[in-house]
Amino acid sequence: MRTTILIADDLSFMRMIEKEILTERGYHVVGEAVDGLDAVEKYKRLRPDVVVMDITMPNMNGLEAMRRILQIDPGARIIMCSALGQQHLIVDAIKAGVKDFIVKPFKPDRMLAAIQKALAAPSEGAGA
Amino acid sequence: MSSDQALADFLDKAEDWAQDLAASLELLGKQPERSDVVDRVFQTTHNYKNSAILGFVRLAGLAHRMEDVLTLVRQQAIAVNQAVLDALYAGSDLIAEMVAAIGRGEGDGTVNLSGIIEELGRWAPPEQDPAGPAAPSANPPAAQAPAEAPAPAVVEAAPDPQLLGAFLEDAEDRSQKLASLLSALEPGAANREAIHETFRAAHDLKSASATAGFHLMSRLAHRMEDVFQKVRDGTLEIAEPVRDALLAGSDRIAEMVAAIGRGEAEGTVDTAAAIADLSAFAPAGPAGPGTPEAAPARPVMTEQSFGAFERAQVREAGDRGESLFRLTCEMDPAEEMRFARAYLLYTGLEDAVNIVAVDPPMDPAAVEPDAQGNVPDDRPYAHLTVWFTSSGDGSEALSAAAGTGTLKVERLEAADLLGSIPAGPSAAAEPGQRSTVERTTIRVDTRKLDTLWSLVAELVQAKARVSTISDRLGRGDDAENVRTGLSEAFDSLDKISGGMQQAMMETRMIPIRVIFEKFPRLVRDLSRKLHKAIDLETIGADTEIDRGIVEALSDPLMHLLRNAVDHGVEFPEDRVRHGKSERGRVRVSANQQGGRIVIEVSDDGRGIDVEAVRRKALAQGIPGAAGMDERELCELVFRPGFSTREIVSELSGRGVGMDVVATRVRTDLKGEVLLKSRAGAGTQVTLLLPLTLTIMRTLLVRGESHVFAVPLSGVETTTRVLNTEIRGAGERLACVWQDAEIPLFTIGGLLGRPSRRAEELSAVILRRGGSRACLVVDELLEEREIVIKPLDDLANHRRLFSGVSVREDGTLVFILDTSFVPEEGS
Repeated sequence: MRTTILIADDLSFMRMIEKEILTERGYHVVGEAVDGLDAVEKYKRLRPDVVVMDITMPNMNGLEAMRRILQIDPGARIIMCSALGQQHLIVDAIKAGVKDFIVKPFKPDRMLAAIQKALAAPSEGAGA
Repeated sequence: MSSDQALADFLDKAEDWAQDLAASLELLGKQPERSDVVDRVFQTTHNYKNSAILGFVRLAGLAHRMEDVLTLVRQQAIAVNQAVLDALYAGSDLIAEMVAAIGRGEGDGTVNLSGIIEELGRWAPPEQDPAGPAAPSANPPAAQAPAEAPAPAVVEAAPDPQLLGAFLEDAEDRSQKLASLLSALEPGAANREAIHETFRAAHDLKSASATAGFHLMSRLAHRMEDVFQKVRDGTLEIAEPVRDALLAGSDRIAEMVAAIGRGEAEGTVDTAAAIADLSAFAPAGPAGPGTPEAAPARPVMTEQSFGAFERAQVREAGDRGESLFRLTCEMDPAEEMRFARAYLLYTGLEDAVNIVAVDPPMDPAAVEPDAQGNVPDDRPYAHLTVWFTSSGDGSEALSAAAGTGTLKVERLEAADLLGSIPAGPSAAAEPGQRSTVERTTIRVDTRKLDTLWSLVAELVQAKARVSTISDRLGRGDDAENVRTGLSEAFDSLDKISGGMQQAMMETRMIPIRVIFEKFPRLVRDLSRKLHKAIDLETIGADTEIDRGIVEALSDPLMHLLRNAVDHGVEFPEDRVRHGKSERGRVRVSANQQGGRIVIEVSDDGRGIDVEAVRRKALAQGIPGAAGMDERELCELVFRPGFSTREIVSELSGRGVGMDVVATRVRTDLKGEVLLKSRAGAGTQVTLLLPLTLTIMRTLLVRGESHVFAVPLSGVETTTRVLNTEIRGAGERLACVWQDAEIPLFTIGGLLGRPSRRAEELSAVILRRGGSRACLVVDELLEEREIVIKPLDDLANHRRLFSGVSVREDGTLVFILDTSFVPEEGS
């Protein structure tokens, strides 16, 4: 079965670019969330293998969304997408259990490597 | 050619290149206008670029960046000023470091290049070359110096019309939102939600435009984000001028979006004024690329510097049957969030193994922005070392840390760490764990080989002659004739073997130039730093010396030269006041005198005030100081712990580390070091060194029915001692020599056997620096030149011998290491 991925970003351009990169490499983008709340809802519904989550989003930011998702599913594989200058936020995310992060503007290789790494790591939860 | 051979060949050549580069850079400093010199620097730099074939991509990348700068120099687009020269010098230093690291089998990944790439980038911004190393981004919000190159983006995605459309839609939306929010923002009003919204809009614009490859827009949005951040943090009020600057920014972005939509370049919109206005409210922080200095030096942790806590952990883990490992991680130079990357590695490792220590410390506060929103420098985290214990083979750590950078895991010998004998710096690495490139080739002047060849030819002839004599003997030839023939044959064999020994020894000889070449650079850097004017003169760089000595001599010589420049030569104004020329002179010379190499380092500086030394010696309670002559007082400078900070200035700083120089020369190199000085006129340090370390002049002695060799360099004289003159008992014996009580040793005592005592004893007076000791032996035999062979530790558990030599009859002669003679002051 193809690896399923949920993209969460409030910018449609970013979602589009990420989706293109992932689809090209054979991943199945099962859903796109436009903010943190949406991401949590879609995660519950779609149970993707990996979430690629932006930090800066309206309604609920990526950090909070990540925490909620990990509450629902401690084995969730989440990759944070961050811009420079948000290093302290990424550190918080790592503390909370995020699997990896990528820095915008990212190279496709970086994103794919992060996803592969997240998939390779043992998943401690039941849901993934 | 195998890859090992290719590597050895590369290392061999790299040595030549390094010399070329140093020489041509020095020339460039003197004659920056000469295009042929620039060409030469370019050529030598270019050589390193080929190392990419061997996989040394970082080395090649650095060379490439240096070439970029040199290309601009060639085109006369930039002038060769001090700063450019400094950058090139720094580059050449790092190249040398990388080559050294490659030689040690560590590859080119362990040398930090972020500072230099940035520095070179100031002169020649890297082109958009996806293969080249990316310019490391500085920390926001301090980033975006004019010369900073845009980070590589997903440019290949941008031309897609669909994507571009999506981008433009988003960007238009955000810039409109930005403008309307800004207009609605009341000056002074505390509308947090609105401010947050504007921040997010600017942030979105920044990352989206950077991803789409519109760097001007990204830079402008970044500046706006910085200002919003300050407003959000409450460190900046939304006053009218602030709002104007932000509005101007959002206008420019809207214009750019429109221009891009029309198919024009983003550069058609002039953003300079808007960026300048915004920067007035949120200036670039101090950690930006404007300060290319690397992070301040931080004490680096090694397993040798482990404290009690770490050692206890290692011990306990050992009891559990776990081994100690060291993981080093060298991040990709393009890694932007070094701390977070390191933190991720660390947390991953925590789950897999037992972490003992980490360097740099893993403190999340390291990346907390300060009140001004400036993010601390996280560059140190690009080189991460984690010590851990595990019952596995260390590979579990590699998989836990995968994707972080270039990783290396080494198993360490915990016993070395915990045992009482401190491990040597390289003793930790287990053989076989690292693939150090063994230098198995040496370069030999063909003339030296020619000499050897002709000696071999003579040897073949001599052999033929001996065989003729043997035939004659068989035919019953006249005994007298045979004897004469044999005697002639022996003479020529003696001559040939002596010649071959000499010729072979000479193949180990290299010109001392390899050290001297480092001096102009050292003097240049130091005199610039100290604001002194100094002329350096080097004489006799072609003098040849054993390669083993050259390697050991480099540090002491550099130290002496540094002393001369730093403490010897006065400041120009002081020199003029004392009637000297404004420019100081430092002279380094080498020449061969008889069987020794004489190296002198002299300066015409302020010299040493020997009376000040005497006062200091008296104050320290050194016996006999009152009656010491000048030579003895100068010798005190080599005493460990003699010089202290307060006498440094008085002594023109000599003595700082002079004991280290003396130890290296006297103990390791079996040489001698002398110091002459006149207050106000200058100082001269003379090193007397053996030509080679493989052949040594020794005194053969007999003791405990064995023959031992005592290096002549450590022998003061021979004498006789009456049994009744020996004082003390057991292991602590002493005798009186020249009115002073000196320690007395016996061969038997050194070997741990009880010594027999005759009435009158033969003795050797040994010297080590200024101190003396008496060695009682059974018999003094003769002076003899011997060929030293190294001795393994097993046969030398008492560390009593420095080597062994095989005598003509096949028996072994152990060479005494005279460092059992107590050092002065100890």
